[in-house]
Amino acid sequence: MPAQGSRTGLRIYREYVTLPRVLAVAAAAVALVATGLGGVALRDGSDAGGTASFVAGAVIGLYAVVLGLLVTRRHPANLVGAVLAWTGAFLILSSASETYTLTVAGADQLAAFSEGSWMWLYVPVALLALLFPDGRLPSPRWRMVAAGLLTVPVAFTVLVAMSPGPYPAPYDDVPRPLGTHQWAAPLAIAMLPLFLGLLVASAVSLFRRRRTADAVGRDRLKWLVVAGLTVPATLLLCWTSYLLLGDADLVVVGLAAMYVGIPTATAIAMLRHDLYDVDRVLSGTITYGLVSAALLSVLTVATFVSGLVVPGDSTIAAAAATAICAVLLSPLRNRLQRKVDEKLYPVRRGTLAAIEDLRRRAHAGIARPEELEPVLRAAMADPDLRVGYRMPGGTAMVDAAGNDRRTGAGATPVLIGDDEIGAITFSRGCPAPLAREIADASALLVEVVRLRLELRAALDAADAGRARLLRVSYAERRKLERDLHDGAQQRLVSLGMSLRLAQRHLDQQQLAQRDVDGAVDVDGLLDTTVAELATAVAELRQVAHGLRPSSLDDGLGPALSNLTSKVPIPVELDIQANGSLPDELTTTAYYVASEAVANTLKHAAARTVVLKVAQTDGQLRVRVTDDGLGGARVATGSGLAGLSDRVAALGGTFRVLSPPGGGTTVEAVLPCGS
Amino acid sequence: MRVVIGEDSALFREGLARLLADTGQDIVATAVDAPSLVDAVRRHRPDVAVIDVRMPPDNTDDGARAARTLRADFPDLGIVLLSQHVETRHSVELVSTGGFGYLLKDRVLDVDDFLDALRRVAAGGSALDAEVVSRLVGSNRRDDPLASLTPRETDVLAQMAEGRTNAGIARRLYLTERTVETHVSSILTKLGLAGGPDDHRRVLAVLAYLGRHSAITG
Repeated sequence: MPAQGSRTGLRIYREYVTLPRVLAVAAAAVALVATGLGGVALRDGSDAGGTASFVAGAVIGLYAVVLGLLVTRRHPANLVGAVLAWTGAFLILSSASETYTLTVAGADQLAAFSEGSWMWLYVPVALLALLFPDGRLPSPRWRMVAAGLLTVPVAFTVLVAMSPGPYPAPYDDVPRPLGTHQWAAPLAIAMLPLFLGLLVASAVSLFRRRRTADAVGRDRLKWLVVAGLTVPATLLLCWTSYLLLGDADLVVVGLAAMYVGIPTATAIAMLRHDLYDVDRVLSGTITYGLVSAALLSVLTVATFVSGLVVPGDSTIAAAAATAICAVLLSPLRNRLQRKVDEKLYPVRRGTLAAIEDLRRRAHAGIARPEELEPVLRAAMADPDLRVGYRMPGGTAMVDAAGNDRRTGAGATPVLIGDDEIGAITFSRGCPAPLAREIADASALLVEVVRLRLELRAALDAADAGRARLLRVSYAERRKLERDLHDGAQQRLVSLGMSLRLAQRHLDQQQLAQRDVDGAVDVDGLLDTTVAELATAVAELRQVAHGLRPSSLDDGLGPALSNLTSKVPIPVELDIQANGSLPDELTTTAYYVASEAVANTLKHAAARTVVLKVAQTDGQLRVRVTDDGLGGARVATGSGLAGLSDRVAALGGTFRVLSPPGGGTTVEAVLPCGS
Repeated sequence: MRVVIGEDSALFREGLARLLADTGQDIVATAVDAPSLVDAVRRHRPDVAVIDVRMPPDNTDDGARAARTLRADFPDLGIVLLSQHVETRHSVELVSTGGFGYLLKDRVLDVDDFLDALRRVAAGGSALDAEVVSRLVGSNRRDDPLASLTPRETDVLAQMAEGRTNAGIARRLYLTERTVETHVSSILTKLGLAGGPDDHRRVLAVLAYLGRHSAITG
């Protein structure tokens, strides 16, 4: 449908053709035309000195125009891009008209307007300050300032053109095209404070905005402040120039830097405000500015003093003084950077210091590297900050305790070389460069933590393996014991019963023959055989008991009292264990007790034994104390060494205290979970 | 005697049933696990139940637990627990209540002795395995009244603890019943126990003493 189509077309038109875009394109057109005219003028003319300044102006101006177009492309409805483009356009216009006037015959008339045109160079910068960063005035009241910025320079240019008196050289003899009027000069002078007021107002608008801006807005404003710092930097250059060269030539470099710096900072602010850490740039710039000022002050004094002491050329003395100052100032710079950071950039300074402090304390052994996360949280006032560690050989992230941890898509990777060893997730906005810096500063601690995690995992696996082996060996013993009881023993007893049954049915005649010569005494033989069987059963019972005492099925207490009931010396038994312990625990505790008691009986010549079992605070403590000879040692391959291994396999501790003549204490402490 | 046997091993169960039947006992039922044993006893009301301590379903001490249940339901039922290994504490506790026996399985090979134990238990007496008894009376302690017994008296005490009557002890130790009575009264005096004409009660007093003794020990 045509109506629909035209409406859609209109919408697209409105979307793409915006006032800022039109203005920016117009600025580009003006810049190109001006560059072209300037170029033509240069080709026709012969002034070599003008060439350099025109080319410099054109390059810098076009740079600003291109940036302005880029900003408008990204933010079509924002006037900042257009203003930026016009900054460049005015610069080109200014240098082109100067060149044109100088070189093209008959263009002298333009000189009338170029005299007051310097004021235009400030207009885009002031408008930029007024409109930055959203392209709108801070409030409707500021319209007056904007209007003033556009009208005052026009009035000024015209009034200057009409002022009496000749133009400055080389246009002394050019006539005034608009005539001369006595009232024009004082009016033009009156415009100057008015314009200065407008510039100050534009600068003040930035501070007003800072109060109401959000985080991104503040970041952008900071970029503009960085750009603004090029102005005092230019003054510093001016100072240097006078000091070293005797004139102000270096200022040109400063001005060029200013004209490059302001559009660059503006474009970064509008396009990629998070490209660099603006806080860092800001504090770095201020630090270097202060250091340079200090250096120049010292140098000024040095030159003056050496000029008094050493008559004549003082260049060498001044150079020496500069070198000394530079050396002296380098440690000062670090301290100054810290001070400036504290004022302007507390998060960066505080966080890096906290990381360094943790590293030092971890090195000294008074802190654990695993504290990195809480340290970062505190330093950055970010309670949800998370540090993830990538286990070597794995892909998943874990936290400092080894639990799985999702770090999220926005996490900053922690790198060593090209290896990603971890990641930090900042939940409050953290500029990418600062995040990178913190991740780099944390890398060593992260590496230590993940190696410790890996070591712990390996040790845990080894411990688990030992405990598993112990459990398996106990289970096998239990199975063997059952098999002996229910299999071999049972079968032998059944065999014996069959023999007894057979014996009962020997007929009396066979019994009567037992005394007859040569006959076999079957009855007696059966008695002997059954007795042998009974002995075999008893021996098997002993073997089975050695494998695993069946009384352990009833718990540690019954098993131990059973154990001590066979001991030929008095045993004092004190058992405080409330049952329901895992089998491997009771079995190990039993072995500790039985081996220690057996040792006492064999070697100690003791009169009494105290066997104490206590279950407290998640620990099962088994202690066997005798009043014997002492001097027992845990020799390799001995029963005590075997006990030590069993206890260690369950994560417990085992010790033997046996001073010669002072009795023996064997103690095992086993973790029992509850 | 009417006997019920609870034993999961077919070999042992059938062997014991045949042997006991051969001696003229009436095997009224056999059971392969604890629940069916309890059922069988309820149905047949035997004089004595011979029960394996370790039985299905749990294969731990199911037999012993079934025995306690049966004792609560049938105070006059004789119960003999059979075990593959020695366990002092619970066995002494049970046996000292009377009408209870606790024997190692291989004691069945001494048929006459085993039958004697069954009869004693069926009559409300007791039978405690010699192995258990030797642990009870053998533990060597200072300040122990048991230490003050003469070797002969210790032998007699062990026989008493096994549950034997004076006559039985006399037969076993080749003594006259009169001599045995002298030893018994001496033992009771030394241990501070009350004497009496009833063999069973006296045995139970000795067992209770030894049980306490072992409880103090462990």
